[in-house]
Amino acid sequence: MEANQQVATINILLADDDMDDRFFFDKALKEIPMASQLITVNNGEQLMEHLTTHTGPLPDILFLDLSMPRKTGFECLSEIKENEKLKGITVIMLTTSFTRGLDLEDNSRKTLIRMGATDYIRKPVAFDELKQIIKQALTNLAAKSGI
Amino acid sequence: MDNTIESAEDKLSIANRKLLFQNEEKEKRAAELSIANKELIFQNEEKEKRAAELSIANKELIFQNEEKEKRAAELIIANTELAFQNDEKEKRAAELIIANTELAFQNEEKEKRAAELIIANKELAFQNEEKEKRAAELIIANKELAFQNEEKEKRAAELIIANKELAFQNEEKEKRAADLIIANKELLAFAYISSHDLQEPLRKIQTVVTIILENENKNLSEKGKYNFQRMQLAAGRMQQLIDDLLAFSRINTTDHQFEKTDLNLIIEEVKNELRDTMQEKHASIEVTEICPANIIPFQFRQLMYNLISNALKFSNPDIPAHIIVTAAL
Repeated sequence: MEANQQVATINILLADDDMDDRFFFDKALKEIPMASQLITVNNGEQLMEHLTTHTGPLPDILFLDLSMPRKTGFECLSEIKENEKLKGITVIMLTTSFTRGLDLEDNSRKTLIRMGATDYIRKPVAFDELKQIIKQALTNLAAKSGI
Repeated sequence: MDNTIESAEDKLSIANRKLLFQNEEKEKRAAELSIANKELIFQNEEKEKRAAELSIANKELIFQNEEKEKRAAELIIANTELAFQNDEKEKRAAELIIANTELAFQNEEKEKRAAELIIANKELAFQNEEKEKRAAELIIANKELAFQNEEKEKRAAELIIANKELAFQNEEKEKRAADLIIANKELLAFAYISSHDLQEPLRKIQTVVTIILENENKNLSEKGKYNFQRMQLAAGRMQQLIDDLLAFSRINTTDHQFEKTDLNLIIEEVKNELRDTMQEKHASIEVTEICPANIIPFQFRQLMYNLISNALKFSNPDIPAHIIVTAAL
């Protein structure tokens, strides 16, 4: 859980309890031609502990899985956005929790965006699509913060 | 000479006597004439009287004549008036003839109508009799019904008792139904959770397949690629089923999510899913006159999938199957 402090490198934090998804994310990131540094945590408690005790720079962007044991992504987002020190972090929510096309998903998306999430992404089936999603999020972040 | 005197004397005597007789006759005639004279005087007097009377009568007649002339003048005037009135009456008569003809026609019509009415009257009289008979029958039927009513009231009283029994049983069933609703909710929750759990590993299978197809493309044989593609299709189908199962587990009887859906899209999806089977069977699907409809999409998709896959499954293997899908509202 150590981050390199390179200039123009995007510091990425991934919070996901699913080992396969962490693998897919890491693999996708490596295939994206952008300078980045990835740190991963396995659940909500680890995430909050990392953010509050880590001495290095805060992540530029946090990919946060919604359903995790111990502390859900929902709870983590709430704590982050209420924390003066952390609330500036760009948070992208990841989920598989909802059946496609249900109102519930729309409602959740709206709630999360209102709470301060930058985007809400359903984990895709196709690997190429996953790469595109991550790349787009990083590109948006770079454009916004001038990294 | 004596004879001659005697003869003369005789002749004188005879002539004397004849004259005497004639005298006497003339005296008689004078007497008669005197009487006749008197008679004539009387008659004359009578005629003078009569003349006087006639004179009076004449005056009277003259007066009457004048009166008659006046009257004649009046009658001429009156006649002219009558002639005018006559003309008028003739005109009126002509009009009356026309009116009469009309009335005669109307009269005939009325007679016909009267004849019809007589028939109708007879019919009504017949019907009336029938109704009276029917009324009599109804009175009898009424009495019968009154009797049946009494019987039914007795039966109703029995049914009230039976009803109370059923109400009791109903309460028991409602309690049971409430238990079933709870059990059903639990089952649906179970379906939701288990479906959700199925979804994750499936997504990973799909992701890994895409990684293999992308990264190992060069190393795979055509057959290998084809099999991976089939795996992808099957995984996609399973994903759809899980999605549907998840959706279904969320639907209760009051929450059917009907959507206006293009049925062509659904048929296309089903055709893609069944592409391999269709190729094996040399089957073709013809879609005609299909339109958007208000449906629950996943249920309808499943319905079409089942119908078409069964059609393929049970088609004659020796003849290329041709499936026609059409719609009508």
